[in-house]
Amino acid sequence: VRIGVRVVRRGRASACAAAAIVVAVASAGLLALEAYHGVQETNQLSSTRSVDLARLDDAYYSCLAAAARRLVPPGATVWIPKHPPGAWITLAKAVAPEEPLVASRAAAVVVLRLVARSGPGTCFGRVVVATPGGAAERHPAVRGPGRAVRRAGQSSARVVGRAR
Amino acid sequence: MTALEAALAGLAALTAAGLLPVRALGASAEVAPFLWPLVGTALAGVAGLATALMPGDERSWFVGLGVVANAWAAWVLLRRRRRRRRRRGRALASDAERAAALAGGEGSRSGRAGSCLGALGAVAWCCRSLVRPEVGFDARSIWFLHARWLEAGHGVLLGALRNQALAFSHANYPLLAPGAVAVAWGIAGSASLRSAQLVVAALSAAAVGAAAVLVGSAVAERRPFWWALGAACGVGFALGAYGLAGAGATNGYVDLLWSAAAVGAVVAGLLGPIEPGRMAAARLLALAAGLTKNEGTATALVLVALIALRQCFDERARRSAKRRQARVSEPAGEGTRAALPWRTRAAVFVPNLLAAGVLVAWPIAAAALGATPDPDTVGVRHGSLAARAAATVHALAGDLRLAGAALGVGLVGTIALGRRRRALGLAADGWAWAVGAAEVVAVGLYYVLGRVQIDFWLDVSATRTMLFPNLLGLATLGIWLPLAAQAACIEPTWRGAGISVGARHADAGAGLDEQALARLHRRA
Repeated sequence: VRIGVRVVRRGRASACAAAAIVVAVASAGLLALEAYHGVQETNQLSSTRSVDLARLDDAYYSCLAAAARRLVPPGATVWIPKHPPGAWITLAKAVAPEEPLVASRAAAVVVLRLVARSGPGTCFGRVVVATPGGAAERHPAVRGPGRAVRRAGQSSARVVGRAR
Repeated sequence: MTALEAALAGLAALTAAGLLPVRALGASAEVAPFLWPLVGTALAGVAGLATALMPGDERSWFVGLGVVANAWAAWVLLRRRRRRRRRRGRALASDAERAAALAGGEGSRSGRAGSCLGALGAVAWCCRSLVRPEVGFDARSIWFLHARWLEAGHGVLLGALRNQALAFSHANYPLLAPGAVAVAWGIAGSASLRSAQLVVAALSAAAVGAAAVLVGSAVAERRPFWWALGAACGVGFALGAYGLAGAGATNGYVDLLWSAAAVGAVVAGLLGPIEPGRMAAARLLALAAGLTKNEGTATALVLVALIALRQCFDERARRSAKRRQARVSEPAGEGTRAALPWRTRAAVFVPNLLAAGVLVAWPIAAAALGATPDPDTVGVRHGSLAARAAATVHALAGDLRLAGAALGVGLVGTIALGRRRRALGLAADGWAWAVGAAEVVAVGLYYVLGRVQIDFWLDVSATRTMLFPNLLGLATLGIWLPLAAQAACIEPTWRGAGISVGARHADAGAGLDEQALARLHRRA
């Protein structure tokens, strides 16, 4: 019986040691793999190409924000149509930090749209276009012919080109 | 002021605000440098909440709260110093003091310093990707936009929270990261997206560093090879965390920030040995995680509840062990049985309840202020619930491969090495996986019950929302590795002199080993 107990104990100890080795090797392997992935990711993100792409993205939003800033008179509320959704969210991201957005066209002084346009003077193939909103007539900067919104709308491409 | 200078000035202000409170709360020395900016940021988040509720600008609230927190911390530290002077010369009495004194032992200290330096080096290296001036989609539309609202003050913030046109910005998200960015902008005097990106990336690095240190020092060991292995695990965790987060680690996203902070809290509060310094670190990290993002809030609440539960179990075990000892030494033992002090219960529950209170303050305030609901949960639901559930399970399962592998390793480890793990003062992996499961279930339900088109939603967010369980897996692997390596390489004599402080502390109920006590008495 004693011999049997000893054998069982030794067997259990060996199994535990084997399991410990398995756990250690598996943990080390997975950790090393993830660490290697992290190193690769960091190298890739700090590569010249990646930095250039990020600068391009930054320049795109800066260009849109500058265009919108020129188009919207100070204190004027802005509405951006939600269709198409891609253009809406892109423009909203560029405009929201600077201009007060409203939820309806009727409450807006200026309506801004992001439109695809080829040729020079665009923000990488897009321009911001402004039209008067429902509240345009009540806003002092917009009231009357030839004032802010109309003027700004006409000059959007030029402004965009300069901002770029 | 350049963007880098503005970010550095902001981080310096956040760090300065957190210095004394971290010391007063008694967080362990090796993790404290990483907690300083995080605690300052938590103060900035609370300042953001105050800005939403009351008139004033965020910077003034931050300064006010910083002064109050630091005055309180100075008072606590002075009181502690006075008490220590009074006690000087007396022999150390309680088990907790013995364990704390042991924790400051020479070997252990070098191990912890090694973990700290390793983690610092790893996160600093990973921050190389900050050369990329990228502001991510959510960073631009959520975090930095909220910072603009905060910077503009109470009126603008309140208007923005209620503005339907800004619903895309998830107005009900907590204000920790925007608060920190607004502080940096306030100091610099200008709002630059680049400085905001640098601030958020530095905070994420601090959270990853804290978690890496805690992982690296969980299996504390005095012999150089073993503590170096622990430190290497911490480094592996930090590098792996940046690999899992990808571009999101440095482009203004806060997913790595909250996930790493929550993992640090899990390791310190639920897996590591129960030491006062680690518990303080756990609560602070849970606060940072919970004040950062909605899923972080849910996770942090579960975390705080489990920390309280674990402390309760530990207290009960310690008390019954003491009772057993008392019965052996003096047969009556009635005095010990009666000693069930309300103070102990208060010490366990009050800090955790306070933390939970701070965590739920923002969701309640946002609802009370009429913040626009999350755009993902309004409108007509796309697809049936069953189809959404199937898509969610499929997507999340694909993103949880690392967590699944770590769970498998943990199961084998628990079966084979559970006893050794307990002897080292480490809790079972189950505690950590309970938090991980809670997060996965909460996020999964949110996807299923949400309204937006599910495939698109999962495509753009599932990897980020599953960062926490994956990091948790990485952390458990980092703890299992030194533990299993020790078990495989050395004789498992965990009552010998070579075993860590945490083990002794865990065995405190049964008494510390004689050699250690003799050493302590000599030192005293």
